Amino acid sequence: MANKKRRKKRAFQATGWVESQASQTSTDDIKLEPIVFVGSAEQRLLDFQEIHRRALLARMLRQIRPPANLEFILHLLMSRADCEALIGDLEEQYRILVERLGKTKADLWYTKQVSTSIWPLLRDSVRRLTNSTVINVLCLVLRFWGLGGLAEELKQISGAKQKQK
Amino acid sequence: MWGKVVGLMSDSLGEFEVLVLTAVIAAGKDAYGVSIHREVEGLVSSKRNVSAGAIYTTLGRLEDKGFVESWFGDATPERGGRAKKFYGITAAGSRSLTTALEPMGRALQVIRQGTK
Repeated sequence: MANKKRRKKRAFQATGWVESQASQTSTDDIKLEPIVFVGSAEQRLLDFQEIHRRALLARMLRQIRPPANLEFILHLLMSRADCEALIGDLEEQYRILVERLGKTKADLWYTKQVSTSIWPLLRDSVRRLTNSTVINVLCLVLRFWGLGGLAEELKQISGAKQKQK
Repeated sequence: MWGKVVGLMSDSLGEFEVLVLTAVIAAGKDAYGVSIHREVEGLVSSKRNVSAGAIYTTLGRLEDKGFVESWFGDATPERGGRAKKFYGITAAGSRSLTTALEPMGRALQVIRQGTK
């Protein structure tokens, strides 16, 4: 314990943040002395700790990546812009969870989110595909009845809607 | 008329669509995927799991119907350099939500009066 205190004091003296109270170097004197901070040393120590904490956090955030293998599933089922927004949302929440619960639980949460998203996304893709198929069939029928103009109008509106997406 | 034919969908709102529209209103100016997801989870019972994919497909459907509008924000580092997609309710969406919720409000009133 005494050794630990001595080492701590020497470390502080080396940084110049703490003033040595005794000129003697006897072990007994050092043991009895409390550590006295001079000026804003305490504040500097806190600053140093904060900087260290932030550097660690930044390094951690750079290293933290959600399970990348799952992203491609979302890319298959969504438009590029929507997919990027969804992955961004998941990654934002994932990083918060890593800090709160740890990487394993955050990985599990991410996997659960992606796997439960597959069915609604798949259903939506099928719905969009069905819609375009129905429109194509409708246009064919209209053309067959000699209503080519209406069919063209229908196609144009449908194309405009798809462009908007 | 053709818009509706091409859209191949009705203007009425489903239960989940009502929840998502309400969440968009509740999230206010900061209505993007995460905040909307949080609001929806706050609205539904804790037993029900709401996936982010379901929120996005519903928002896409509502956008097709013209009930919400969307725009992209700036990319941020905590999202891996990806942009946020913000949503806002349109006047048509607001009208449709009111129409969908009015009967429920009246029903709730009747129930409350009945239990007094």
